[in-house]
Amino acid sequence: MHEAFRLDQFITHHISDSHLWHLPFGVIDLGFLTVQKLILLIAAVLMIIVFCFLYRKNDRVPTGLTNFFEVFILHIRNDLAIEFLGEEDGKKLTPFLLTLFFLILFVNVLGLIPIFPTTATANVYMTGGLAFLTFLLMTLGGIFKHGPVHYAKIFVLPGVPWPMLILLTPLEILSVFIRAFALMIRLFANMFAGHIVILSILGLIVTLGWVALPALAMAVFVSLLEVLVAFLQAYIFTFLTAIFVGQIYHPQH
Amino acid sequence: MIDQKPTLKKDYSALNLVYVMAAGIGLMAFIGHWLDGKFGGGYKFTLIGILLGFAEGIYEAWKMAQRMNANLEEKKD
Repeated sequence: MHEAFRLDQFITHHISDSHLWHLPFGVIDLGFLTVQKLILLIAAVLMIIVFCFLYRKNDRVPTGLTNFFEVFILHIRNDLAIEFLGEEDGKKLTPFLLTLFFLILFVNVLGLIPIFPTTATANVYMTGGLAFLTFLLMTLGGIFKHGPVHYAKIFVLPGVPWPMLILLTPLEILSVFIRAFALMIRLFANMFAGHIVILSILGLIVTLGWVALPALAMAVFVSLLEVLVAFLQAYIFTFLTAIFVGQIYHPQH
Repeated sequence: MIDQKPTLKKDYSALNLVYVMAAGIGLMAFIGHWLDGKFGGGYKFTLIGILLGFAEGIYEAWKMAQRMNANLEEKKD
């Protein structure tokens, strides 16, 4: 006799990271790697291939792939990095912001391919690592730029009476940690939730049978929405990183 | 180099506020809960953590309102 279908087990089985990679033709044991680590590795290799070999930045008139990526690169450099960090710091931090954006984008998009059951950004350690880099820029980067004393003065708001400062200064310090934490949670929750929604809808078909077949159209719609979310979340992470670091580097603005 | 400054960029905090509020309360409650476990303080540190996270969220909302008001004033001028 077959065991009753459990939707929660079906979803947990698909979204949890595993050393076993389930493919339509069989199961591959990844050894020391897990599926999420594999996605991260593939994304890193893809980035090297795309930006070291396929992207031709010296073309006078960019075409094809170069043209496609040029839009993102110019937007991140001009409208995020230079806009929020100023000409000098913006140009210095553009490579970091671009790496952040394209790594998140590649990982997000790879997770949408049906052969991968989950994505690396649906792992809180991965998003935590990326948010920690932003946190380091906000703290060590700020200390390096302003010096320890001037950096500490950023958290003391000018023109505020001292009794209020006793309340507000700890909150200002706390906000650095909370911003990094919010970055981590946002990316993780969005990528994790997308996969759960799709699996929940597909699970309806298994539970209810052909009656729930129209749910397939809904699953396709959510998958298309996921494509938008993949780009949007990569952009928002980069966008907020530029703003947070900009607020530390140029607190007067 | 950049002449256009869309409103979204100036009012970015609205984009972030919900997450900062939720993450603030969540993070501080978690730290409070951990401290309660370590020092056996019942729910004392958890409550303090939640209040602190809430205060941080309100402070961020107040800062956002200030920034938006300043932007409106700028537009009027």
